[in-house]
Amino acid sequence: MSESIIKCEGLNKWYGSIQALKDVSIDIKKGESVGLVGDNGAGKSTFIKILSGVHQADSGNIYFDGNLVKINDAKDSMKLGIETIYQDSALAPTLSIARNLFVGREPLTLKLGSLGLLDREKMAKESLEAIKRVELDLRSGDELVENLSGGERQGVVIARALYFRTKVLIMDEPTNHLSVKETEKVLRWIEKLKAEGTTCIFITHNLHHVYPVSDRLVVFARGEKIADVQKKDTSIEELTKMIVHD
Amino acid sequence: MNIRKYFKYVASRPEFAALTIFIVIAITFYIINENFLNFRNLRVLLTISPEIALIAMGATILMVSGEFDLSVGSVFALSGVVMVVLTNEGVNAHLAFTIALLMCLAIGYINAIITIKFGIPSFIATLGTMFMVRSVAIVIVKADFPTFPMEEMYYLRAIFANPIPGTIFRMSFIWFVLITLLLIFYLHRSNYGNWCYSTGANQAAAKAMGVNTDNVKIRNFILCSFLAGLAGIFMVLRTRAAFPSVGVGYELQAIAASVIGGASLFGGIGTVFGALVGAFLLKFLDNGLVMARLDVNWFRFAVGTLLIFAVVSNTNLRRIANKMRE
Repeated sequence: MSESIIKCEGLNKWYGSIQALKDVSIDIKKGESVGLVGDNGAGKSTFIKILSGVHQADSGNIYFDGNLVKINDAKDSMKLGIETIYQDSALAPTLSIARNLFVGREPLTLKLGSLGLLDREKMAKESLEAIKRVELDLRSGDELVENLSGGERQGVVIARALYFRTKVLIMDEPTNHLSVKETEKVLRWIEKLKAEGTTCIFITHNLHHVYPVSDRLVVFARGEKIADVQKKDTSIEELTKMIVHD
Repeated sequence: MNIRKYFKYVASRPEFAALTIFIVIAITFYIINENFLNFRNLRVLLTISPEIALIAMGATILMVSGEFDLSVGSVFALSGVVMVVLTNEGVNAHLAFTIALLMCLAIGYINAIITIKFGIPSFIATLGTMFMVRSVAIVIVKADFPTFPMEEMYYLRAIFANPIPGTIFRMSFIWFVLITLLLIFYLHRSNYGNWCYSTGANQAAAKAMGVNTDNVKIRNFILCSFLAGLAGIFMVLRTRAAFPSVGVGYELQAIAASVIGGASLFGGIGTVFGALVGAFLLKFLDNGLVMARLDVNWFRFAVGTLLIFAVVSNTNLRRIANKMRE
């Protein structure tokens, strides 16, 4: 547990004259699950967007697995093994589960440059296996995502992360808009991801959502990291006070 | 259970509903006038339908990726005009043909760049180029009709337009079949096709999964423009005349055909086959009204009715199919 997977040193980010991130350093260990909490505009989203390649830091270094890396776009981030799931926008609703699972990483039978023939047999077979691993009650990967409940959609997203052996999974409000029963399911899947060695990072403004599955909690306020504590050394009350009073 | 499954399959694939309507219409017109499906008229139908179908298939693929192209009707006119005028000016006919098609690719690229770089709706961007391209087509011929260079166009006509002896097909039909197969491969069987759907259905998600959504759209704008230009050339070679005024309203017919064939205006839904059926449906309807000796001016009324009917029924069928989870 002591080896770093993502280590950030002195990240700074300005949007015009507003400094969204002030000298943020975080060291995330392999297999850890970290909850990033803070009010809206605290800087947690900016931090995530830098890791996923949507934005670039103005200064500071990012080390992945011990190596200094430059993350210029979403592809760079995915190549490293970082996958980011934004709230409500991780899947294409009018496409089947199988097609969603493999978007951008389709298995191909024939290839000509970057154009290729889809290996539909493999897509059907492996998507079914992938959704079985998260115990989703679906009989085929052909079902359209728009017919799934919010919880099932998160299941598909997590199945995708499991399938591609994602090293770091970043989730934006993973249990937002979910029923209590579905939330529990999602939390169980996250336990599964942890068991498989995936590092998970959650961002949320609702502490209660991530507290149960986080090993560690990092609090952001006004672009700064104001606290970074192991769960066993803190409590929901203490963290809430920090978020509210700062 | 199997009937249920079959129903779900059909209900979730609106192109089959369009195909049913198509068959009903064909049979109805045949009953009214049996000459509707005779050798001669069938040859006419199989000549004119592919031209609009090429445009509609391009429009559908572009719609699947979330964009529109209203300039296709103008591109349809310009490509033929450019080919003929250049040939009349002494350029080798095959070179003129190539230049005309390259110009279509360029117009598609311009449509894409205006839409993507300036972040404006493609509806507006291509409405603009629709006027511009039409204007260029008229200016080029100096408001006159250029004579068709029969001799120079001999081989092009042989390759793309002449009737195939002993059959009801023209050469253009063979090209149309080939292109349709390639487009089906592109949209439904390739990874590029999967990127088209995901870009149209949820651009942010596609981007997050590493799909270059801008490239997907650029490719499809170019494809759409190319197919419109090719259709225009087919028509010019067939009719042996290049009029700068042809294809007015084709952009809307292409969108109507796409939608009748099941494509969604919101992107992420649509098939090549659906566009094909939609386009054939429009042309059969147009021709059938003539053959039935009805007032042709009812054509637009019929298209409008069909369009509304198709969208309403597609939306509802999809809702029913979605409820039938296995």
